[in-house]
This record gives sequence, C-alpha cells and structure tokens, in this order.
Amino acid sequence: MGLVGPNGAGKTTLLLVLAGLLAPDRGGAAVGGCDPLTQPQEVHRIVGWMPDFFGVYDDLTLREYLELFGAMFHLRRDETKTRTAELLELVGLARKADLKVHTLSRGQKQRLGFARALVHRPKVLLLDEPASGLDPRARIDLRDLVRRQADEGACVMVSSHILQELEEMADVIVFVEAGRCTGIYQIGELPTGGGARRWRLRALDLGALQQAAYAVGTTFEVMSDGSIVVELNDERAVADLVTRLVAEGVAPTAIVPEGAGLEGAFLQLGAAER
Amino acid sequence: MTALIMSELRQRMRGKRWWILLGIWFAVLLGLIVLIRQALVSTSPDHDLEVGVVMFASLALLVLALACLVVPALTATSINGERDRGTLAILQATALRPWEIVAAKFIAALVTTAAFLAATIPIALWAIAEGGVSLGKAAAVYLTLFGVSAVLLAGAMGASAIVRRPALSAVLAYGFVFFLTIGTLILYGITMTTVDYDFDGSPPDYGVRWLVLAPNPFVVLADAAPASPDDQDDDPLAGMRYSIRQARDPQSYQIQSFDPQTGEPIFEEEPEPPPPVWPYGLAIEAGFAAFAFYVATQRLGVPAKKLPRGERIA
Repeated sequence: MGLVGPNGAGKTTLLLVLAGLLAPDRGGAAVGGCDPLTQPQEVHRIVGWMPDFFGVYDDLTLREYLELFGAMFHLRRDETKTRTAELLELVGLARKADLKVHTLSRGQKQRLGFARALVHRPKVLLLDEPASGLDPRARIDLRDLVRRQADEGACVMVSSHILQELEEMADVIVFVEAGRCTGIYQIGELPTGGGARRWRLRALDLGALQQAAYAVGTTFEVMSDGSIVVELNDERAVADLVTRLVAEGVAPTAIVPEGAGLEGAFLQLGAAER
Repeated sequence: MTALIMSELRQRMRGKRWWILLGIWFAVLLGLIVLIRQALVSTSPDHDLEVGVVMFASLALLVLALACLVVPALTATSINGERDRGTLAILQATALRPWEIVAAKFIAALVTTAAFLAATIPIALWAIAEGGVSLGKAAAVYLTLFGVSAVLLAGAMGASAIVRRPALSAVLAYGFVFFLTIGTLILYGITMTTVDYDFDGSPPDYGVRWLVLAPNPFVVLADAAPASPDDQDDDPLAGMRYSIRQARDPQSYQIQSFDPQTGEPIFEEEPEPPPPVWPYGLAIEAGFAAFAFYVATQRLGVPAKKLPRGERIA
C-alpha cells in the first residue's frame, strides 16, 4: 500500500500512530488485530517501522547494531545471529558486517535501517519515505526488497512523495492531504486526469520526426532538445500515430507518457483541494 | 535490556572522550592527594597527625566534589541526545518498555560511575597504607560515594528526559547538583535565623532544621563514614559528622564543665551517641532519584499522548 501526499499531509503522523508511538487526537486504529493505543507493546512486536529520518549508533558494527535490536525484540541469541546474517545478506551489506556503522554511505545506512525494521520478522512493515536520498540504483534495489517482503506475506505500507516509485511498488495507492484521506485506488484504476495525456516522442533524426508529425497532421510541441510532445486521448491514439509516422518513414525510438499516471492523479487532487 | 546496557557501555568505551575524562579524573585526584600529603607531612614533621586518615578523608571529599562535576556531564544528555540523533524513537518502537529503556541507560551510567570510582582505588589504598583507616571504613565510604553518585546520576537523567535541548538539560542537571550541595546549605542558613536562643545555658532547640541539610551529599558522605575510635579530631569527615549530629541533637554534645587540670571537657554523664543523620539524607535523595526515574519513564511512554510544541517523536 502506498501513501501519497505533499509534505505535511500527515503521512508520517499516520505511520507513527500505526507504529504505536503516537496517540491520535481522535479515533482509533487497529494493526494486526491489536490496538496501538492500549497494546503498544504487542503492536511493536507485529510492526517493523522505518522512520523517514533516523540515526544509527555510529560506534557499533553493523552486526552489533542488528544483534542489539534482535535482542531488544527478545529474540533468542542464536536466532538473532542467524537473522542478522540473513538480513545483511538480503540488503547486500554482508561484506561490511564488521565495519563500524559510521563508515556507511547514506544509501547503505538506509538499507541497514530497512534490515533493522525486519529483524523481528514483522507482519506489518511501515516504511516512511524509504527511498529519500537514494540514488536510482539503490532505489530499484529497495523496491525489489520491499516487493519481496510483500510477496512473503507481509503487509507493507510505504509513504512517499515520489510518485513513480510508489506506482512501481504498490498495489493500492492512498492519497492523503491535510490530514485526510482523499482517495483510495487500485494501481490499475488510477484516474488519469480526464483522458488526454501528453506523450513525448523521440527518433534518431529529430528533424525528420518533426516533419513527419507535421505531415500526418497532428498538433505538437517542439521541446528544447528537439523531441516533440503530443496530446493524445488514449493508447489507441498512440498506436495510430506511431503507425502513421512509420508510414512517413520515421520510426520513433521512444514514446514516453509525460508525468506518470500517479503524478497526474496527484496533481489533479491537489488542484481540487485548492 | 541487558543487550541495551551492554551496547551503551560498548559505545561509551569506544569513544575517546570517555578515556580522556577518566585519565584527567585520575591525574587530578592523584595530584591533589600528593599535594595534601606533602602539606600534612611538612606541617607535622613528628607525625603526631594521622596522615592516612586525613588523606583518605580528603580523597573521599574530592572524589565527591569531582563527581558532582563529572556525573552530570556523563548523563545529562543521555535521553535527549538520542532524541536528537533520531535513535530514541526506534528504541521506543521495540519490545522494550519505557522503564526498561530508562533503567538500561541508568545502569550503564552507573557502571561507568563505578569505573570512575574504581579508578581512585589505588589512591585510596595508598592512604590506607599510611595507616589509621580500616578497610571496612574505606568500603563503607566507597559504598556511600556510589550511592550518592547514583542519585546525582538519576537527577541528570531525569533532566535529559524532561528538557529537549542538551545544553539546557545539562544546566538543569548541574542545577540539581547545585541545589543539593550549596542550596541545602543556604536553606539551612536561612532556617537558622529563626532559632530562639535562651541565655540560661540550655541548648537551643533546632527542631527539624537538620533535615534541610541531611540530603547534602557531603553530609551524607561524612555522616555515613564509620568513626575511627582513635584520633577523631584530625579527620575532616568526623568533624563534619560532629557538626551535623550536633545540629540534630544539641543535647547529646552538651558539655557541663571542663577539667581544670587537663582542659578536657567533662560530660555530666557519658553522652548517648547521637543518632545518625545519613539514613534520612539518603532517603530524601532516593526520593528525588525515584521522582526523576518516574518522570523519565513517563516522558518515554508510548503511544505519546501530547507532544510539547515543536517536538517530533521521530
């Protein structure tokens, strides 16, 4: 489940409530059949929480760090050891197991934090902006890690304002704005913003592409890099345009929707709010 | 909880700051004791003074004085420091209960304090070797030092839980120390202005004013130190003990007359040994410590009901 909203919308607050760390002003919550208000300890055992900003104990090694948290979740000593090794392997930090935590890069710390959230095999994973500050490669790795947890049966809740990222990760998207839920959608059923979408086209010879587009009679915009942007109602229109361009002797090398579906939906929702 | 204690200690040990502080601590104490011994030996060359007794008493008082400086420095940011670094909320989200987090931090700090005390043992052994101090007395004094330090520690930890900013919590922690050491003395002085003195020779009634002074760490230390049977006059601890017990029970030290030949005081009857003050002092201090502990636990409680303005859980 993806949680989308602008900064200050209440994503982190919601996750804190679900993690049993913050009491809501009104209302209640249920996590894995437990009430975070009255059974915080039970909820902590069920939930793996990774905050958007967190510190690590710089003077510990990676292994010590994870083992510490294993022990604090009352895992048995041997269990902690195997779990630690397993997790370090999972997040690709096994080679650094005996280095101090402060030698890690930001992305590596983020992965260590992710491993930490998994140490007690939580049934529910709450990840608050897990990809912030990560490079594209690390982001893809993280996405795969999160998906794998979900495939193994964990309920995962990820918050982000980076929309494509959630589109790739989540099955359900929840929009949050100003502390309220403004929409829940299955990933395939996201509103696209009233039909027309902008598509960017590139070809080997950009000049020829522009001429061909003119020849087939579409309205288009020429971007600063020479590629063109066309407004099309649906994918049938896209296929149609491509066929006609090929007939003109220009094969498009890239046809990319401008702004992913989510972004469109998000912007639309934001506009409606205002 | 054990894991958290061990990890706290491990992190402290790995930091350079800790070892530097320990080194300075030992060097300063050793230096001062060497100077005091020189002074004692040169002022009483024929050794009618119990050098060992004075050395040991000075050591105990100096250790306490320095502990008043060092203990808050070691603990005054233990909780809000973690909050600042963004590690506290993760601890709160584990299966540990709030009191376990507080207790783990407290015990780790206590072990650190014990290490500081242990570092002074060689100096204490030197004083004992000079004679006049029994091992039992030394052990009792160290035990008291440990107990009093634990109270200062608890206060500093409470401060670090209440106050968000490390600099301010340090001020609050030192404020607590200041209140116990100097504040009680000032308060006592103020209460003494209300004593009625009769001039018929009967001792004034100080009432329960001694209770104000009782939680003073130095009073507790001096009062709890066992008296050595011989030569009490030289022992600074005995002097302090005499004063505080007299404040509690002036009757017991009432001197009736002086022997004309020797000038020694004669008691009409052998005075009852006055009751000790330190159990009361330690009990009051323990009350402060328990309160600090309670407040710290409350502040770490999850789910947090109300946050002070501008504060984030994580």
